[in-house]
Amino acid sequence: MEQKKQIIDRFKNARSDAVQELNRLKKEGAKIAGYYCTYTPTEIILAAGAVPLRLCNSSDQYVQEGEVHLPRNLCAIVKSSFGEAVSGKSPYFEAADLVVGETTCDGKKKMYEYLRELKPTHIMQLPQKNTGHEESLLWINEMRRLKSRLEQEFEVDITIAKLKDAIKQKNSQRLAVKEFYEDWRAHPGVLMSSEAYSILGNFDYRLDREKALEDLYAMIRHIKSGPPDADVKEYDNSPRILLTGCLLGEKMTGIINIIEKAGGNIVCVETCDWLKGTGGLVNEDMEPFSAIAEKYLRIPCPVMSPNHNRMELVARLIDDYQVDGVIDFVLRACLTYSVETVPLRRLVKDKKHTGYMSLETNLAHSESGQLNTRVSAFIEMLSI
Amino acid sequence: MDFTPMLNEFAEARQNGFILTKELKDQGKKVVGVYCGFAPWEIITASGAIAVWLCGMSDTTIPDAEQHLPANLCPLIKSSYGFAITGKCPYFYFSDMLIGETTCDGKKKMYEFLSDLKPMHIMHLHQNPKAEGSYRYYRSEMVKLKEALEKELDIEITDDAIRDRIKLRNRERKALRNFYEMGKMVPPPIYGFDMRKVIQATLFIADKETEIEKVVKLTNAIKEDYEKNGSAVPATAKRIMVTGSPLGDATENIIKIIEDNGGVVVCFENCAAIKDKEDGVQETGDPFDALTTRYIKSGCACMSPNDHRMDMISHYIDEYMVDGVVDVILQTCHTYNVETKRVKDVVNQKNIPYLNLETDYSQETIGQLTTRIAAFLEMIN
Ligand code: SF4
Ligand code: SF4
Repeated sequence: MEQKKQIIDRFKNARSDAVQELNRLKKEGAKIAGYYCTYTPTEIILAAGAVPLRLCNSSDQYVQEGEVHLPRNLCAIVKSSFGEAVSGKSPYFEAADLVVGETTCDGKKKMYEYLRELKPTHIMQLPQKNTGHEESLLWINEMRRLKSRLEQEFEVDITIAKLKDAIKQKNSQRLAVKEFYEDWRAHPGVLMSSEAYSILGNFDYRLDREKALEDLYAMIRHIKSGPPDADVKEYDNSPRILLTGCLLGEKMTGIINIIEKAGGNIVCVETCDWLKGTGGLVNEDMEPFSAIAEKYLRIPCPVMSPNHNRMELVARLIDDYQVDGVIDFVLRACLTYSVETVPLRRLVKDKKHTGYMSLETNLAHSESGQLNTRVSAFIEMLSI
Repeated sequence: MDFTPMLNEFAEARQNGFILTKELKDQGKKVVGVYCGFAPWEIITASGAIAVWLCGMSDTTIPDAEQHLPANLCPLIKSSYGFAITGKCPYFYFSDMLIGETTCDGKKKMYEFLSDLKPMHIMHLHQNPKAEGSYRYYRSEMVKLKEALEKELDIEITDDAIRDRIKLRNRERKALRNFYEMGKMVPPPIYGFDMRKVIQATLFIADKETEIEKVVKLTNAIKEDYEKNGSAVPATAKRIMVTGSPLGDATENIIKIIEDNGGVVVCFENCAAIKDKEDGVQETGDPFDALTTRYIKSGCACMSPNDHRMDMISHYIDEYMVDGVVDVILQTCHTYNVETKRVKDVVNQKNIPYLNLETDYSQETIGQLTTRIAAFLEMIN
C-alpha cells in the first residue's frame, strides 16, 4: 500500500497542482467555471461539461491588493478573493471562463458586482431564508437561470440525463467523504486531525477528481487496516473539540496544529469545507433542478435568517461526537457569523452544558501567538 | 412671513410624537414599530395602526447593545437594539408589533433577537431588483406582511383601505417633493440642516393630513419670503449632495460642518429622503402589484446590483446642479461601504469631486471630520 504521507501530500498540494492541471485542461479546450461559495450547485456546471474551480481565497495572500479597491473593514475572504481577481496574477482566476457567485453575505454580494468588470460573471440570487414555498421557487428558478447562462456561455446543451449523471457523481463523492470521516473517528490512532483536515479541506480543490476519489478510498482502506501511527497521539482523556465558524482554508491547518499541540482532540469540523458543505445528498429520484435546489438551500449558513439548521446541526454533532468543547471561528467584520455567536454560545453552554469559545481572527500571521494562548487556556479549562 | 416658528414645530415633532402616540394608544389604537422602508407604510397603516419609526439614531444606548452584539457592527443597528433592550425608546415601548426586513446582514441577524422582546414579523427581501422571480417574491412578502398584521392586530385589511393609504401617501410624497425641490433654486432658500429637520420629522408624524397641510404651508411661506427678502444662503455657497448610509441624529453634525464651512446641502439622497419621494404608487388596480412595482425600485445598497441608485445620483447631480458629493458611511455598513467605489466612479464621470466619510455615532469621530470636510469644500473652489 502506498505510504499515507504521499497520499496526504497530494491533497495538500491540491492548489499548486491545480495550476498544471488547469493548463492541461485549457489546452484540451475545457471550459472552466470559477466559483466561490458552498452554495454554488456544481452539479449544473458538471452537467455543462465544464470544470468547477473553487476560487474562494481564505488566505491573506491578496488582502492588500483587495484593500486598494475595497474598504479595509471587511472580512479577509472578501478582500483576498477580490484582490486575487484584480491582481491579474492568479493562475486560477485567469483560467476561469465564467465566474459564478451568489448573494450570500453583504461583503461578498457587493464585491461580486466588481467582478463583472473583470470576467463574465453570473450572480445567483440566494433567498435569505431556507424554508418556505416562495423561497424554494425562487431558488429553483435560479438553478434554471444558471443552466441557461452556462449553455449560452459554453455553447452546450444541459440535458436532464447529464444533470442526473452529475448528481450521481457528486453524491458518490459526498458519500466517500462521509465514509472517510466516520472511519477516521472509528479508528483513532491512524490519522491526526490535521491530516484528516488536509484531506477534506482540499478535496474540492483537486481537479483530478477521479484520482482524488481513488486517494480518498485508499485512505479509507489505510484507516481500516493500517497500523496505528506512533506519531498520532493517544487521545483517551483529551477534551473532544468541535470546530465551527467561518471558512479559514489553509489557515485552518495552522489552527488545528495549535489545538492539537494544546492537547485538544478535534473530533468534528462544521465549516464550509467540511460538514456544512458535504452534509446531505441531492435526491436522485426527484426532478433534478428541484432536487439540487433543495439540497443547497438547506446549507446551515448564518446568511440565512433564522438559521435553525446550524443550531440543530451543532446540537446533534455535540451529542454524536460526545463533544467537550466548541471553538467557533469568526473572521473579523463577518457580521452574520459574529452575531450568530450569541445564540450559538447560548445553545452550547446553557442547553448542552458544553464548553464554548469564539475566536475572532483576520488570518494575519501576527495573531498566532495570541490564538495559541487563548486556545491553550480553553483546552486546559476543559481538561479539569 | 417668517417661517422659523413653523420650522421649529417640525423640529419638535419627534418629542411631541411621544405624547401623541401615548394618547392614541390610550384611545385603543395599535402601534407598529418599523425599521426600514421596504415594508410599505401603506399596508401597515391600512390596518388602522399607526407606524412609528424605530431606527436608533443616537449613540446613547450603544454600550448596552454591545453587551450582546459585536462591537464591530453598524452604530444604527447597535443603537436600535440598545433602545429596544433598555426600554429607553418610548416608541418601542408602545409598539404592539415590530416589522423588520432582511436588508443588511447586521440588521437581519439582530432582528432574530428582537423577536424575543415583542411580536415581530420579518419581511424577506429579494436581493436583485431586476432578476426574474424577484417581483413575484417581493409581492408575496407584501401579502405575507398584510396577513401577519391581520393576525397579530386581529383586524382585516381590505384592498380599498390600502388604496386609500396609497392615495394619502402619494399626496404626502408630492408635498414633500415640492419642499425638497426648493434645493434646486440658486441659491437655495434654506439650509440643508433645516431641510433635514422636516424630512426627519415626517417620520414621526402620525396624522398625515395635518402634516401635508403644514408642509405645503411651510413651502409656500419659504418661497414667499425668498421672493421678498432673498435667501440667507449666499449665492457662492458650494452646492453639496449628501448620500450614503442613513443619517442619524449624531451624524447630522456632518451637515452642520458642511454648512459652516462654505457649503450648503441642496440634496439628500439617503433613504427616507428624496429617493423615497420621487415616484408615486399607482392608485388603481391591484394594490399589491402597485406597491411592489414602486418599492422594488428603492435604491438601497442592500440590492445587488443597485443600478437604480447610480442612475438617481447621476440624475440629481444635474437636476440640483451639485458641486460636490459627500458619501457618509456608517462604520461596518458593508453594503454602502463597498458601493462607495461605484458612487465615486459615477460622480467623477460628471467631473465633480467626491468625498467619502466613515463614521460611527460618536462625537469624537465627527469632530475629526471637520478638517477633511473643510479641505474638500476649499478644493471645490
Ligand atoms: S466569512 Fe463571513 S463575511 Fe466573510 S465571506 Fe464568509 S460569510 Fe461573508
Ligand atoms: S446603515 Fe448599513 S449596516 Fe446600518 S442598518 Fe443601514 S444598511 Fe445596515
